[in-house]
Amino acid sequence: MQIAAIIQKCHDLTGKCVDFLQDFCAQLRSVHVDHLERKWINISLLIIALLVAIITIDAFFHGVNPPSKVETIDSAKLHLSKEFAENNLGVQQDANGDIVIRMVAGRYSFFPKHIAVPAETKLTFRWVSMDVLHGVHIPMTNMSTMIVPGYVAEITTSFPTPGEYPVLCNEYCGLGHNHMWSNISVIAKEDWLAPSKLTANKEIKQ
Amino acid sequence: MNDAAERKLALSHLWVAFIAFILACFMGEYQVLERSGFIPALESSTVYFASVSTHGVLMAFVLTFFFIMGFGYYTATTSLKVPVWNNKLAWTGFWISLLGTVMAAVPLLTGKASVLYTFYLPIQAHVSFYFGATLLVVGSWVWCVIMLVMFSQWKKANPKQPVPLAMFATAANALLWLWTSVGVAAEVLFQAIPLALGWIDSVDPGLSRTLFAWTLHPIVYFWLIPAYTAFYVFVPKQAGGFLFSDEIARGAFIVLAVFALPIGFHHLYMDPEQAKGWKLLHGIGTFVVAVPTLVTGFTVIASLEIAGRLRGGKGLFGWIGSLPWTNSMVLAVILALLMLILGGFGGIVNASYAMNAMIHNTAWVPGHFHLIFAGTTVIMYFAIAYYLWPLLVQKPLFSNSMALIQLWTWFIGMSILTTPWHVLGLLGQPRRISSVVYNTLLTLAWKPYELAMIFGGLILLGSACLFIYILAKTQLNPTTEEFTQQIEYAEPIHPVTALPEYLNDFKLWNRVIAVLMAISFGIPILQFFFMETFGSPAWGY
Amino acid sequence: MDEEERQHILESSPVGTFALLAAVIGSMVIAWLFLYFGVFIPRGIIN
Repeated sequence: MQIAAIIQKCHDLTGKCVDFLQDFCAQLRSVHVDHLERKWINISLLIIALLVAIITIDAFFHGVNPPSKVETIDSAKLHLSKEFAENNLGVQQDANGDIVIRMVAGRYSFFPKHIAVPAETKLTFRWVSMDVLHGVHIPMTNMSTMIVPGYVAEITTSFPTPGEYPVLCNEYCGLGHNHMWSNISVIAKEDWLAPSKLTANKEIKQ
Repeated sequence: MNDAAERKLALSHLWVAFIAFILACFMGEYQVLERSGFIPALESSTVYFASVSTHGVLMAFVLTFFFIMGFGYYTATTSLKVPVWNNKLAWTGFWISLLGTVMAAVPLLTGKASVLYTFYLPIQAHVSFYFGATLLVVGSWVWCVIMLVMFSQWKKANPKQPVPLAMFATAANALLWLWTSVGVAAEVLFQAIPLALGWIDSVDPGLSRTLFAWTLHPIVYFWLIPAYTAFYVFVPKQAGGFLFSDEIARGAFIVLAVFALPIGFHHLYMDPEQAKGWKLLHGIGTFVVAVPTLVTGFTVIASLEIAGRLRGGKGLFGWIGSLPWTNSMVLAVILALLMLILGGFGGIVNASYAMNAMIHNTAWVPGHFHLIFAGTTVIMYFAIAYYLWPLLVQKPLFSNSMALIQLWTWFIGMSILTTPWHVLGLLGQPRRISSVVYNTLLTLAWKPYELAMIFGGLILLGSACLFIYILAKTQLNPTTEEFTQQIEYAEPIHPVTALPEYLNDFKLWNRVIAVLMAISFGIPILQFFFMETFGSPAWGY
Repeated sequence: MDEEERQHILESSPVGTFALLAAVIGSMVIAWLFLYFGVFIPRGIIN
């Protein structure tokens, strides 16, 4: 009947695959490989496996991942969006105490142009572009992400060392690309004051 | 066999490649000078970005495509001992690519296509730039078809015989390029050109970056495989020895071709349009593709060791000294391997998933690809040119000692150029900037490295000019003496009489590639058609 | 060099190559670990 025929076909197919693999391995085994070269291939595979293991374990168990939240947004209508309206940009602390920083990238700066965050604290950045492709990184930190128009780039990190850092555009975005930068003050944890909702959009003065 | 037709075909391609190369070298030195800010009169972001775009296109697409095609035609005809299949078609491909190059060069040089060699949308160039790039690629497809036809015709005429290794590698490269170019072709045909012509109002930059990433990694293997081919088929004989293992070489080319393709997302690690699962998958694949390079290193160095020992070298490392360092092919491979160690290490750092954040889009990235491409790959292009030129023009090489000087200075210049470049990246300097105007103390730390890079670039420029000089003097030699030298392919220590079919054919591997590509790119590309995305209109610069 | 010595070399395993590459890959692993745990992670864990 129908089902029996299908099972038979699967059985045949599996048989074919097994035969194929056995034949493949037998043919490859017939190739002479010097014993030191064989050792080298094994060492290479082992080391690759070691590095992949470290990366994968860190990814799954310590949350070490590149910024990869796939979230779309209409870059042409940012000023109409609730989240990236001008008076909602910059550093905010929500009810749980989590710090979220909303930034807009556009030729040729990052807005707000000067923000202040605490050191050694988990920070979530949300970047959007108002025009073309940008990239942003803060030197000496791992705050690095592409900013693709049409998408929100969300990245969570913490800054170990207090200081004044530049925020630099690192992807060609036009003839003024080398002028595209802003500032961030990383303030010692105990000294940083969360901006109130009313002052969230004002520049933090030193 | 009278190969005058093939020699003309190869020479034409190689001259286009090297003329593009020397023009781009001048631009490169201008760029490193302009960016340093030491000569204020030079400062101009308009000129700088037009230069970077042109330099990138000439080096990454014109030098490479024409070199690979010319080398491929001559390799195919001499290793298979048959004429190039359909000479007319080969020339048609040449003219299509050359027309495309000129068509793209005009907007590039007049500042109307300052979109860099990666032309990331939605910044838009003049439409003839995209048309030119398309034609350049179409011409290369003609070459791919001819290579694969010659491969299968030879197999039919010589059943059960091992395909000569040089042709096997060339065919692998042709197959690789056909698969590789699909990504950028789709981006240009369905997004860039329609947008430039006004047929569509907007494009999704997430999709364009994904399509470009399809091409962006395997293209570097398209460039690299000719260098590896020379490693295996020329170097051992030039060193006075034999190829350590022909079968391992084939295995390496297969694994390179298969695993170079489904790993493009390591160029998108910091991008928001792809999820981390796909990025991790591509990352693991990227580590896998390091293996055939490690194996190539072993096999090539082992061949050198055998050669060195046959020449009298004793002890654990004595063979290194007894190698013929005055043979340009041997010197080139030694220098290439040195650069491959550091360049390869940089590549492994780039591939390391989240660690990419440490160096993404910083000066480390151009430092890395200049070391590995302008270093390892291009120095082998020089060596191949020195080896082939006498055969192609039927005259002796103008000066072997000049060739050696040229290779050494290329290596020294590259080391001086790229080492500070990597450090600048770790110190946070972004890439693709035309000057340093950030009002921050950090940039003071960058200055000494910029200065060093200017000197590295100068040495390289001199070396490049010397290279062209040697080739031109060789070709313009008025001698009429008969030239009897023939091309010499290396023999393996253990002659190969029978091969498993999987090491002699690509049918199986083609299917493996298809499956891996479907897994690695299927959903990541389809996702754009199923989720709500917002396009970007075209932007000027 | 006589034929016997020549044959011996051709049949030998490349010990020098192995030693050289083992040293190279060992250094690469150490350098990678240094960059990963000594530079990257201390700059702040990202996700």
